[in-house]
Amino acid sequence: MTRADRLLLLVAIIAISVFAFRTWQPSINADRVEIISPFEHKTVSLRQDKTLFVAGALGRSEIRIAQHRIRFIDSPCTTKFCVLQGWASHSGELRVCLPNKVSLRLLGSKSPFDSLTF
Amino acid sequence: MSSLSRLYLSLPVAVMVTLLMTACSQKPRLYQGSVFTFGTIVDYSIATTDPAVAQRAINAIQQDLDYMHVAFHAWHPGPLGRINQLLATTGLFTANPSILPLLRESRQLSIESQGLFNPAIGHLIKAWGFQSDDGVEDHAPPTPAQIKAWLAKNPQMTDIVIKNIQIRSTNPAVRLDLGAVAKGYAVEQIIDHLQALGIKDAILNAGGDIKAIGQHPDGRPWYVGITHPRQKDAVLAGLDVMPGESVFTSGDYERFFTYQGKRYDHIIDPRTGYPASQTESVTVITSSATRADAAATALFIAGPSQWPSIAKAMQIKYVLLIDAHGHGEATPAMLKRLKQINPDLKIQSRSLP
Repeated sequence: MTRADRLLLLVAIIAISVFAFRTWQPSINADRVEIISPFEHKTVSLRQDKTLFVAGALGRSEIRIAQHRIRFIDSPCTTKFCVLQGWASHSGELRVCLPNKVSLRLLGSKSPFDSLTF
Repeated sequence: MSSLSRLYLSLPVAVMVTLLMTACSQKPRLYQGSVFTFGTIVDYSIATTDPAVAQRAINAIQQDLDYMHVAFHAWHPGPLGRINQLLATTGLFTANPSILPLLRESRQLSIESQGLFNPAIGHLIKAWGFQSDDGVEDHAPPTPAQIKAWLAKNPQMTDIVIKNIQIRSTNPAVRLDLGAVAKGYAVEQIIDHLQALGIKDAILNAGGDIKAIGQHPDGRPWYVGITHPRQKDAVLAGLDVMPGESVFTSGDYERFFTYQGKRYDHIIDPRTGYPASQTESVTVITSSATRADAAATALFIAGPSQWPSIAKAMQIKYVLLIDAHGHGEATPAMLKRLKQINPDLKIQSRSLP
């Protein structure tokens, strides 16, 4: 290995370290979701794509799990804010249909946070 | 006594001491879950060795918050609704005692915030369409003439005169909306209740507003992430919450509507009558959850130009403010506590005057 090779290797290591530091984010992908409604309380894995129907205070919310993410597809509320919130994939994230009292809380065993303020 | 006899005598003692030490060091289990109440979702983590105590605590969270939600609701019939009806008459009346402690504290906090936290502007909040059960649908904002008319009436918390359990307003335009403080007060009451039940270690999160007591069963402080105001799946930073501390955030992304391409958030500046637009989010830490709630709102309205002076007036040592351009400012004390700061966020240190 020539001096130039060693220099190049050093530069590469520094560049990769800087890139890794810059792109590091303290958010963790979730592996399961806790679903709560007035009628059920269960934990579902995000590993398998599926559509779920959860009974809430107003009616049935439709929920989709795909590619380790989850979102409301439809809900009997009028504003559909829960649907507009879109996909959630990180541990600690929450998707809620308040009028229908259905919540989806993402869980991950490696989440560094006990709680999130927002 | 022979050495063998001493051994036989000391064995039962050693066994008993070992058993006692095991009992004392039994690690508490973490009971986690969520309940729908207070118009939001409340997450709890309660550490205890006793499942019965945990269940009593969870029941207390649900029942107490349900009760306070009814008592403090700004537009449903109930104790606060009655107070609002009678305040408009400007006559003296007996207020529901369940509201009075919160009313007194809100009045004091409003004075300290120099009127930026002003729960007396319920009419204005209603005019903006933010008193709604089912989210806020897009609609036209109030006209400038309507806002000017409300500002001229100048309702303030100091218009309310409190004498024992009787109160009156000197200004018929006062209509209370305790939305910027009631959740904090409720969290404070719940934590008191949990402690009375024997809970020493817990963290409560009511719609993003947090209070913690004790520590995590792993023997470390509770660790909280501050959500990015513009990226739901990212955090700005993490911080350890010391026992008894409250961490509250006010953001422009919680309730808002859009009209003709312009976004109007729910935090109304009582000086202008329009939504405060210089801030994306404010996070504060202090011991009282009630104070933290009111201060987060006041500092959000104060914005980049005024937040240090208001923070000082409200005795808030730890502040992180993200302005409308996404730039961060924090008190030196807050900056020291932030961990895992998002690499995209630049935070400038700013001392209180």
